[in-house]
Amino acid sequence: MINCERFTSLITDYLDDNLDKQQKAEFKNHLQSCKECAAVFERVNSLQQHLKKLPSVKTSPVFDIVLKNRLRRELVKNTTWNLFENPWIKISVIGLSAAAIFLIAFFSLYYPSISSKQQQRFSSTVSNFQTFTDRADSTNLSQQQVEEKIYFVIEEIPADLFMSERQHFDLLFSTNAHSDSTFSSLGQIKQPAYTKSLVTVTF
Amino acid sequence: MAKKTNISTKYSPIEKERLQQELAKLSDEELIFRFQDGDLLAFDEIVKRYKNQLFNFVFRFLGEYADSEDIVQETFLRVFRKRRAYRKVAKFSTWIYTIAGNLAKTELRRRKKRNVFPLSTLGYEDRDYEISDESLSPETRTNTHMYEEIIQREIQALSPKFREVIILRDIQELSYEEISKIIKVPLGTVKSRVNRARLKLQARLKFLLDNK
Repeated sequence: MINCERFTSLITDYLDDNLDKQQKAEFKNHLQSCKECAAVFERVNSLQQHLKKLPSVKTSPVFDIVLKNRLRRELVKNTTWNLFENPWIKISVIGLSAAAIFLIAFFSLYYPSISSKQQQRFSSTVSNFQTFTDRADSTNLSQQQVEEKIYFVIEEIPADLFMSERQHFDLLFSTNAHSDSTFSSLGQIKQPAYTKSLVTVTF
Repeated sequence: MAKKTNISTKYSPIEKERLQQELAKLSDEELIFRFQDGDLLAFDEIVKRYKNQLFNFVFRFLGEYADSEDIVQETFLRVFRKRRAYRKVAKFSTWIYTIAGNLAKTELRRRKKRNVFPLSTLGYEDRDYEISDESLSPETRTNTHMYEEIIQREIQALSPKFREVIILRDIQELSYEEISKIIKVPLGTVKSRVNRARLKLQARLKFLLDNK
């Protein structure tokens, strides 16, 4: 004779017809004698039917389109990646990468020497310009003569540097244009901020 | 031996239709082997065969339409990427269900961390998909919807390990052996887990099952 706990543990086996003859007989006996267990059995049986009848939910109409787009991206990625499976392509890519690294390293080592030459040239230009403006105050040069000299000095400044530092030169000219005293306004270039910005230019 | 084709092969519409008819007769395993050889139409056939049954499984497990669809999409993408990983030792359905099940469980853990609740916990009126049977009267249809919604909600209330087996067994109608392979649990454990899941669910649905 089986108890209620044993009975409930055998419900699935009974429904799947997995019990031997004796177990089946004991199960049926308990089913007839215990109302509570009989109710549980009925509900499990009914539940199975309900679950089987649950409608099958379906994917949305855009499912295939979305999946195809994702797969297409995957294919493109795969195709690109598959190229590297060819040993010749792999060797070529590695060789080209190495050459590119070598060229970058070479130019980054070579370039500072050019840059320092430009720096020296520019420093001397700035220095000449400052000397000129220092002297301008103590001489009798007219404003036109001073501006001509300034243009001359600016011409000596490398074009790329002139473009990158243009706002400082514009400031200088605008200061000149609105100033009563030619030489004191030219002295603007000696102000620390401006001087610093010219001197600390990097190439 | 499957015919080897380039993965980017293009077919004419007539040829494509003929090949699709041919593929429809093949087993899942034959299809995946053809796909492993580069036949994209074989993959299309796999998607056609499995998209709804996987979606049904994942939706019943997670209870959320959009997330479930994303997971099924991700399942197919994994099959696509890992096609070489499939070996003849397992049934293809076992393999694909395992992938989908693992992704669904990961999603569940992610939700638990973020305290995200599925939309299905809202009323049945709120759902955005249509699964009605037009042959039923409006009243019966409403009742059926309500019962379905209640059952779905109670399935969601089960712990994932019971939820998974009851869906695979009673909704997807897979064999115990296959479930055992999918969830990587001994056969005896699967059987007792299914029994316990049914007992839990019938207790939760007592009011509905006794009145019907």
